[in-house]
Amino acid sequence: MSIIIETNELKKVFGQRGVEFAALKGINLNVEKGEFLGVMGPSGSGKTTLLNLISTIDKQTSGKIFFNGQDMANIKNKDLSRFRRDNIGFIFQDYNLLDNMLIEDNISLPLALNKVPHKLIKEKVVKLSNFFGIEGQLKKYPYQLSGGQKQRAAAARALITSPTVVFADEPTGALDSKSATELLNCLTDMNTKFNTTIIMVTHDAFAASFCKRVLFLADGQIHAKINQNTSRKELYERILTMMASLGGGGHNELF
Amino acid sequence: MNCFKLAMFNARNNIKLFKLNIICMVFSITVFFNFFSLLFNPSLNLANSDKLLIKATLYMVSVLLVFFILFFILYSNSFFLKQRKKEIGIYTFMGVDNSKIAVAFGIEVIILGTVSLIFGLLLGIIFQKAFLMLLTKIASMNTEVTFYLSVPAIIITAVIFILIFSISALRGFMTIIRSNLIDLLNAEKQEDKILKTRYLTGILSIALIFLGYLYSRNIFTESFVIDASIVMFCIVLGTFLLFSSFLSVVIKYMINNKKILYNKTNIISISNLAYRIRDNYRTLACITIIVAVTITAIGASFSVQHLLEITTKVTYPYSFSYISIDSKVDEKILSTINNSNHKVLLDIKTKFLILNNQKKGDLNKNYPVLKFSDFRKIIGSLKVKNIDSIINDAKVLEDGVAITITSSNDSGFKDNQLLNMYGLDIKIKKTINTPLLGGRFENNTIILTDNDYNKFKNNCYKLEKRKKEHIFKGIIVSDQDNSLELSKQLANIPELKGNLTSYIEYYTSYNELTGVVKFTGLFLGLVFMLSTASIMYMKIMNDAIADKKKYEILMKLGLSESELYGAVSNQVGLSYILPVLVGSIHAFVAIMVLQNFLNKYLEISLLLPYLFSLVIYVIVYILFYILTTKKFIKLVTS
Repeated sequence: MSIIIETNELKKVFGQRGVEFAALKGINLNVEKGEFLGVMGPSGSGKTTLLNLISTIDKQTSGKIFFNGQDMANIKNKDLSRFRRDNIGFIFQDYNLLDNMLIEDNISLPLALNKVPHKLIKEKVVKLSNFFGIEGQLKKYPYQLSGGQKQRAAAARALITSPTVVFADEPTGALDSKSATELLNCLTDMNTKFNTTIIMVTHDAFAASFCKRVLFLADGQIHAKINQNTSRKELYERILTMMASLGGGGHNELF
Repeated sequence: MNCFKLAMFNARNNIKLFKLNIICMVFSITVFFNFFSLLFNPSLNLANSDKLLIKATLYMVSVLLVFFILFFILYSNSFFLKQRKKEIGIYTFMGVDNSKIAVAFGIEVIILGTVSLIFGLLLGIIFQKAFLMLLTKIASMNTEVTFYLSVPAIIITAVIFILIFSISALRGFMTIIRSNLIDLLNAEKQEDKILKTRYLTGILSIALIFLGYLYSRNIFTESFVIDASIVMFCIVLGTFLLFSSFLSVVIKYMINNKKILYNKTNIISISNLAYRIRDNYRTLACITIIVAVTITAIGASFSVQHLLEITTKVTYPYSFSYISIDSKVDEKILSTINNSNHKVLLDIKTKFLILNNQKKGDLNKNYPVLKFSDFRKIIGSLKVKNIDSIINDAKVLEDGVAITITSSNDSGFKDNQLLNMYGLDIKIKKTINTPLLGGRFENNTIILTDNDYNKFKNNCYKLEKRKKEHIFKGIIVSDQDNSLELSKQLANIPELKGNLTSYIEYYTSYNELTGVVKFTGLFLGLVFMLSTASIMYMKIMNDAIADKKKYEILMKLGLSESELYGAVSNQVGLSYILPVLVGSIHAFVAIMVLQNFLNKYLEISLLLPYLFSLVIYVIVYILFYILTTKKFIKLVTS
């Protein structure tokens, strides 16, 4: 399998001299095509920073990021937004749908900006909305939708450009458990059917158990990696054990 | 912390926000003070009775200004209050009660008001000189208007603005007292702003505007007040409905037509427009109306001077005219002219009779009567422009038939009216508008055939026992626009007392008034322009604050800087273009109606003044558009 994202000694330091804080202390990571990678870790471990760096929203202090073998440092600032639009899909915790647009327009937005013919956009919107089960909501505004529907709409928007990789930042954070399960099933389907590479940041062990591989960050470093070997349930147990050992508070006492 | 401290604390923390507020208020005060001081400036001689019209104009414009400024300041203060709703909400949250915050806010308005008042007056005094120079220049006044610092003007300005600030403070106070915590904290979250399409009212709005346009074509009749009210009603209501309904239909169409919507940044700007239209249509409509009124007013006020020039040429075709008494006086006048640096270009002498047709209630119904051969000679030597068509019109003339000549708009006679001239029955066939004897006669001149004229002469002699015709003298001199000095010399000749009609005297007396009208028109127009543009600016900035989150999302999704610029400038541009576009169409129709009305009497084109004011408008709005776009982008990207 080909490697899509590769990071090399990735470091990020916040603050000015004297009051520096190293959020990432050298991350070496390979993400393969078609992978469903979970990134976990306690608050302040650098999850979101890592996501922001790989997704080009933020710039690293040192180290390298390769996207499909291309060094991201070589892309000009001007072209970066275009790169992001074409190669990366985003799913955010708070959906980030534009409340002044219809759901169909929200989903179409990235392609509309790319000057894709409107008929083609429409076809894709129909296809994706069927996939995510929101075909009945297309003519509605975001505030008329439930949280789960909004997040699925956001997922459809993330997928419409057929991006190389989809970044999901705490996608289930604002959802109830039923909606969360539905969304995670959708993401898994996305991963298997469209062979979409997904990187998901989460602190929820249940959500992480849907991944094929889970990465644990602690103190700005990769603490451990777990692969799904047999079943989701088995992975879930191992994640809980790992979380307990990290001191992030395991959920297993509930069972 | 007491209220005063809280107010000071707020004032310090919001200095950036206040900067704009203070600029708005200082501008208003400077403008008003400068204008109002004119009323007290002794070099304008407003105490003279012949300046009564000028004084009245200035006074009325000042009153208009006060109302406009009141509206402007109330609007801008409510805008700043809205921006700070959250801040007020946080204070309430911390347990400061509403009345205390309200008092603090009131004090703050008073402090800001006082500061602006001081700066406004200082700037007003500094700019007074420039303002006066502009006045003398534009109004082409003969009198030098000197700088004069009027204490009453300062005091009255201060009192008026203290009143305005108090009203504004009171309004803010009431708003805060009445507000709930939850509304204050959620000030920025109001979600269900879906676009409602009302096709019927949309069509109605267009229909109303067209009805207004059609109806306005024949507005200058006896029932002007009623007709004008109907037209105003149609246009104003139509414009409001246009922005509330028709525009929403258009936007809805664009949103549903994905070919338009999914075209680069259209999707962003159209969606934002749709989202805002329910909040913004009133502002858009109001500004459209003000734009229309301003362009029309500037156009019309410019045409006033133009009009004066043309009417003066028609009503006063001669530099000097008088009724000749004896030839000695004629010689005296000629020698006076020849001794000046003017030359006699034309010297007309003609005999005429006077018909006194006084009926009950009529005042001063003296009609000069001329024979056709003399009439032809005069218009020939006056080199009247459309002489051929006049001669053609005069072909109806035959024994028993007369035509009348007018130099003003009131014809006085109906066509085919029968007239008894001391026993001679005459039918008036036609009234022609052309210069002849000039404005010294208020009534139309009656032209008879030479044959009828002689019959009438005999009748006159019988009736009045006065065996003499009157003699009219008209003289045109070279360089008549500078003949004021000569005119004064001639007026000193005793035999000409109350008998001399002078072109230049008339022109100068009215020129000053039309100059003032032009100046105030231009000045008010400029004030309206700047203030509507800044109202638009505030409105858009309000939108920008609300749109900040949206643009943040868009940028995360990969909206590039140039695309951001495109989307913002579309969104901002539409807010400026729409009112100017619709307003300028309204104004065009109004100006054309005025021109058509005036064209009945004189050939005049108001297109130039119209274009002139439109171009100024467009330039001012483009500058504001650039400024707003820049600020908008800075705000959403920060």
